[in-house]
Amino acid sequence: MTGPRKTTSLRLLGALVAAAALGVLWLLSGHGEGQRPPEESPGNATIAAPEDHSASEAAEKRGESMIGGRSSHLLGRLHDVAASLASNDNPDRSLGMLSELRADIESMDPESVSLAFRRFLESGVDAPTCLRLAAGTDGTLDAWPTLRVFILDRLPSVDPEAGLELSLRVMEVMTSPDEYAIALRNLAWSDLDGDLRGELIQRLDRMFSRADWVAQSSPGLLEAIDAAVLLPEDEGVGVALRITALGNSTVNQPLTRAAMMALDRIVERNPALLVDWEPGECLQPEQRASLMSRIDPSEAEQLPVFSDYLAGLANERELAVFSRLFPNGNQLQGNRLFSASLPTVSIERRREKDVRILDAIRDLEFSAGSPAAVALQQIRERLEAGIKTSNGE
Amino acid sequence: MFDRFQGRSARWLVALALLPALATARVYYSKPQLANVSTGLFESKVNGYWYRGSGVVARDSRLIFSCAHVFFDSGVWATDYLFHRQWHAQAYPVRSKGVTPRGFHYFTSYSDAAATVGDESNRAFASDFTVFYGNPSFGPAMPVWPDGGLAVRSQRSKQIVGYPSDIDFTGAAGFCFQHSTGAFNYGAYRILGAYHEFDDVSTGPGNSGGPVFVRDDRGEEKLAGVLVSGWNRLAGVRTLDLASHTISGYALGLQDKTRSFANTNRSLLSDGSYVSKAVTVSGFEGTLSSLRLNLSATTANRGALDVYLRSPSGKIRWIMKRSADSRDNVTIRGMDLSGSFSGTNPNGVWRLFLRDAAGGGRCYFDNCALVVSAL
Repeated sequence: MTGPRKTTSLRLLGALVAAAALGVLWLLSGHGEGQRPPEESPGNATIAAPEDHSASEAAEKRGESMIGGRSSHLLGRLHDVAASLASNDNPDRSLGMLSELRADIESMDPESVSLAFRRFLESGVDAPTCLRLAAGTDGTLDAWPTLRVFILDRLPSVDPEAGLELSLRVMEVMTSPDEYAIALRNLAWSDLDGDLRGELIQRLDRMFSRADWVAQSSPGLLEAIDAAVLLPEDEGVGVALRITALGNSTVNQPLTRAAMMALDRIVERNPALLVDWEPGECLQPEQRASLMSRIDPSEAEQLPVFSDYLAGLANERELAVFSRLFPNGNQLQGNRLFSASLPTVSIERRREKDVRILDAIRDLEFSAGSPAAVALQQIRERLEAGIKTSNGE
Repeated sequence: MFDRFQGRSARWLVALALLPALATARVYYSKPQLANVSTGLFESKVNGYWYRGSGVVARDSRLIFSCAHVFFDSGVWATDYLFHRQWHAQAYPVRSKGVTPRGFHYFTSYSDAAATVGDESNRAFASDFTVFYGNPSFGPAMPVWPDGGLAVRSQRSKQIVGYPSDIDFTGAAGFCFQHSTGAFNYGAYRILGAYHEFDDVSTGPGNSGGPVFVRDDRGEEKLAGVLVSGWNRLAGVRTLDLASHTISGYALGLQDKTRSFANTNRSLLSDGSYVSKAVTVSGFEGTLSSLRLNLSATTANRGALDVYLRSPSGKIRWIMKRSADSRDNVTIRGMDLSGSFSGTNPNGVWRLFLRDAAGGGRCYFDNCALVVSAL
């Protein structure tokens, strides 16, 4: 085996040099290339002579000027980070810079951070990071493709109202699908009692009306499909079906996969949706089989749907997938921008459900030798074998 | 392409957009030793094609850990998955001898498939992780590290095991022998989340899902992660973490523990500015499954209050917003916030932000509590 990474000491040296260079740049700030805003110093803030105002008003203004000072300092740093990112092509280095920025911001007062963030976003300056957008454990991001996406991601945690306000502006101008995805998430976070649900649907539809964004299928756009899972079920199914159809028709595999993930997660939550469901030609046969494999015939209203579906299956590929997959015991888990995952079903609960389903389909009959009869027999045998094994037989 | 021994078509379970595998071995080598009896060859049928990879029985005899790059291809679930534990032969195993899991829990992101080409392709499927489960016993289970990332970043002894179809990207065929990198002790680099990379080690395409073992202080090998990507002299590993511990724990039927964490420091709410009340949560080994809020505030006009909760990682959830409700005092008992925060790491400092937005009154935060359920 060869030894450890040879570039470790070089990386450390490089980091030290970069840190020193940033320090020099900070000291010399104000002589840049015009991207940085004019500096604000506490001396420029409006502070009236104490005898002209009450003591509390004077203290308030001194407080504002302190916020202004700290905010200016952070704003300067944001512009420095932008410059560093723009000249950097190493994603690990970008991640390090932004992770450090994130940690430092958490120890600062929210008002200063909010002000600096807002001013930076309004400046229009941005920088790529060489990172893909990556969702973290509760919808916050673990990686950001640009500095603006980083700021949009972090702003609600320091100032939710400013986060919503700026997110609405971002969604109006529609310059970046990744920015739009995080702005949409911020809108969802601002919803208290469903009052913003209608706007969320409209904004999601607008996102997918952009043919260029859909063709590009950036990570942000794909992660935003998760919003469909947050919507009322019928609306969510409709949105996800439309996107799936779009992906199928344009042979956009990442788009199709993401949309089908959303559909699967919606149907898993409520298989009864399949009772009145008519996907039409939106789905390919195997996709339809994958979704229908979630149906639960142990529920009275779903048994006839199971029976009719099996009886009416004419497509061989669809029949093959369904007969091997049903009843679907798989679950999708992961980090999502909008929705929470269902808890993992235990092995024991899965077995109990298999027993109930086997009981429910035991007396079903189809014409002898028909594809439906053959498929039903395969399903029964597989369930029986699995249950016997779990019983130790 | 075809496996030359059985005429069975095979596609490689790789992270790199299905690299074409070499049909003919140019180098013959002596048969390696079987490295681990809990590790096995994995096969699955997706969209009519068979794929192969690796997996390991770990934590419990009813669980197999692997990854599943293509088990949900274009929205179609894979069927016919077969696990052949400790298979070690030149030829493919007989399919009828394989064990079929009941199902699997697939941890993945919506955007995983978007990274299979281009510069980011070696980090495609970086979050990819799967726990297969079944009724039968799959075999002896390897113990697991609760924090696989810490283990792989350490200088402890490690090895990566599995079934590469092409040894170390050399062109030499791996056939269906189980291979090992042999022991090495240098640490991995954390790239993002649970995704790590080792320099100077590789196993070869086809070994996705191959277990990464790390020895503990007693010399016992434990599973720290699974191989999810690779290149010449580079191995990408998805390490075990809170999420994998939760998925596998719930699959085994483990029950949550529920604890309450409170802040009882009564304080006056400033007019217009938010006051932050911290609640420190600790002691959980899994992701959050349930969160309920209790809150008491004294006020002559509850409609003047803005209140939101922020998780340790920064997600916010509104509790109350300024309204026309002019009743006094706030008493919230058991407000269910699970939908907003389930899946989160519960450990850390949660903050409740409150302000008297209308001003002019005397509004007090009395106390709050978070009732948290997780493994």
